[in-house]
Amino acid sequence: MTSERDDSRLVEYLYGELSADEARAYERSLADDPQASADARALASVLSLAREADAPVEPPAFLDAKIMAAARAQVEAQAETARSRGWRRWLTGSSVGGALVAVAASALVVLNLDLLEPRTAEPTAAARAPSPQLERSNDVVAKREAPPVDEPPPPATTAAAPIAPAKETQEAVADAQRELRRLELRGALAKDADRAEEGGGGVGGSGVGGGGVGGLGASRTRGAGSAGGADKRAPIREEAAAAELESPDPDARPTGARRQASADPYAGVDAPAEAPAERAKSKQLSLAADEASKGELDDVSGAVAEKKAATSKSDAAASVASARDDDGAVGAAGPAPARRPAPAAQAAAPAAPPAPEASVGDALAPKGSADSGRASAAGGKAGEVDPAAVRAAVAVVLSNAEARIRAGDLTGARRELLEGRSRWGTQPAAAVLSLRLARLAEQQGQAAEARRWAQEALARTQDDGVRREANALLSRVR
Amino acid sequence: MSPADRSAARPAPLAGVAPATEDARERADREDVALMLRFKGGEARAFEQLLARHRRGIFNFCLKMLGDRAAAEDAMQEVFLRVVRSAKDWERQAKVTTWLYTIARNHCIDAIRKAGYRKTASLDHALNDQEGDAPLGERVADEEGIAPDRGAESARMRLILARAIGALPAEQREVFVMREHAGMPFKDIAAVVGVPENTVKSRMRYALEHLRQSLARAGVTRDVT
Repeated sequence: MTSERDDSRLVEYLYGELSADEARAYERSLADDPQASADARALASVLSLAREADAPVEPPAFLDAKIMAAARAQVEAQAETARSRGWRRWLTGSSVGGALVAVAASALVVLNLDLLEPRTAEPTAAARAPSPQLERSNDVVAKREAPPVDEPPPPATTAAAPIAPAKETQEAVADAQRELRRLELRGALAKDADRAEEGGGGVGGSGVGGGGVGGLGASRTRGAGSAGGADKRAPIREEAAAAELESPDPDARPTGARRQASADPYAGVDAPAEAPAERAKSKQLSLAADEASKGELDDVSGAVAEKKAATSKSDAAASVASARDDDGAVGAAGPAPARRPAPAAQAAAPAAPPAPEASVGDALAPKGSADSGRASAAGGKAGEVDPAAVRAAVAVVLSNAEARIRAGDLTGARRELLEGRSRWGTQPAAAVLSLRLARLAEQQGQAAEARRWAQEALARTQDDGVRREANALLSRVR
Repeated sequence: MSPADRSAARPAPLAGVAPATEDARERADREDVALMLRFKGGEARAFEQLLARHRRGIFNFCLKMLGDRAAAEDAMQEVFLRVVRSAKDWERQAKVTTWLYTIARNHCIDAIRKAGYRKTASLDHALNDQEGDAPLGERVADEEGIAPDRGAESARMRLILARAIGALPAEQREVFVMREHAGMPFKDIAAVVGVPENTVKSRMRYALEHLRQSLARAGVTRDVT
């Protein structure tokens, strides 16, 4: 058993951190202890081996692009803030000056009015006669009743003078504030657009975090609390920001958009590009997922979903905690960013063809296939799942996975498929996910895994196309 | 100890990873500080240079700590995004490298906690593997991937070593990775980890010992027994 001091000395020696004299002295001590000497040689050999064999892994290039996009957006937002701050300062300065002028003007007006105050008419002799008291009261009455002869009409311009600059100033300030808000939103939009990662966090990754086994729609409508939730909220901000940009007056935002934003924040995010059929699919997906989120999908990896839901809660708490952590920098980060933004945009647009395989696409077509028949005939909890919604969700998973594969991210694609399988795996329509996993494993030379997935696909579906492909793959990898 | 033994007892320095001398490290840190200040002043290109200097070290640290490539990618992205967000208020309170690795370490610890890892356990024991596949120490090796054009022996050695590193206790693994992949001096590692420098060196010694045993079990006999 070595002491910490001995350990330190040995490590310092191995790493050449001892001075020449210290090193010589240490070597002399090693020479007197054969065991220590052998240990030192062995550890030196381990270190050499580690340096030869454990070459560093290069991170993927797409990460650099994303990080730099965020950095550029930050720089841009900072510049915009600085510009608008300068503008506001100017406005504030001019409004203060305007207010001072207004105060001075109103003071002048008050003085003038005082000077121009009408003199009351002299009371008549008869009115003055009866008694001094009566006279005085008459005087008062006379003063009250006598019409002011020379009283000038209240100068409209003067009365307006103190108001006009203030009103203009207020409007100008309001305009500036709207402009500033618009710029900030633009900067935030840029940030959000950069965060919307291609292929995103997958359907299942952080998507479960919000609503358990709810699938895409549920997690979206719930506004997931997980770290992925921050990015799930990105489309909400995007839509709101877009509406606000179009109509600067927040109160003038179209009521339709407001209603839409509160009821289904993710609806219509991709509306301009979506065909009506696909919008219907998205809506169907949301509705199905909402239904599912009420706990009717117990058969779909319930334990995994519960675990992920629990994880997402601690994820949110930990994200807040870690955002508050003192990482050694002043002014640490703001809201915990999401790691893998949910592909809400992609999820809302299942119009993209899911995969190059025609048979897989056919399997997903909303026709009266055996799959949907089985799903509805199964009854019970499985029967309550909308097969079309499952197919749409699976199509999105496939699409995301294909995007990752095209980008060279096979590991991410595999993860995407696995998460989709864990969510929808018992649904027949998800057999295509198993099939895709099989093809991926085949690509990577993992024959055993490829066979396993292909067999699972065969076991899960009666679809001819999927079964044909699975059997073909099995014959290839045998 | 004979002169031959003496030379054998000192491994070759790790070239091309980090500056070896204190002066070089100080210079590197000054450059990092300058880049941060330029980025703080609105120069995105400065951040690009900073990213290029540290991306590989941060990524490999996260990869070794988390044992999952996708998680490491997320972690690396998170680390640098935090740097971006913190830039406008950044003031030099520690070396930039220390700051970066502190962020990375904290993030990895959070990720490991969320996944239900025990603090001091190795990855193999802690991971709740849903697929029932090989222990994570092996998956670390799989995730890193073996270049197909490498010789079979070096590929095998790489795999063995990756598994061995993945099987280290987290506190030893982080020290090993920060030293070997990021080239950080033990003093800076101690600042990141929050323990005395001698403790860091002791952990390094035990990490090497663990690796030695793992390599011996795997049949690697090259002077490690």
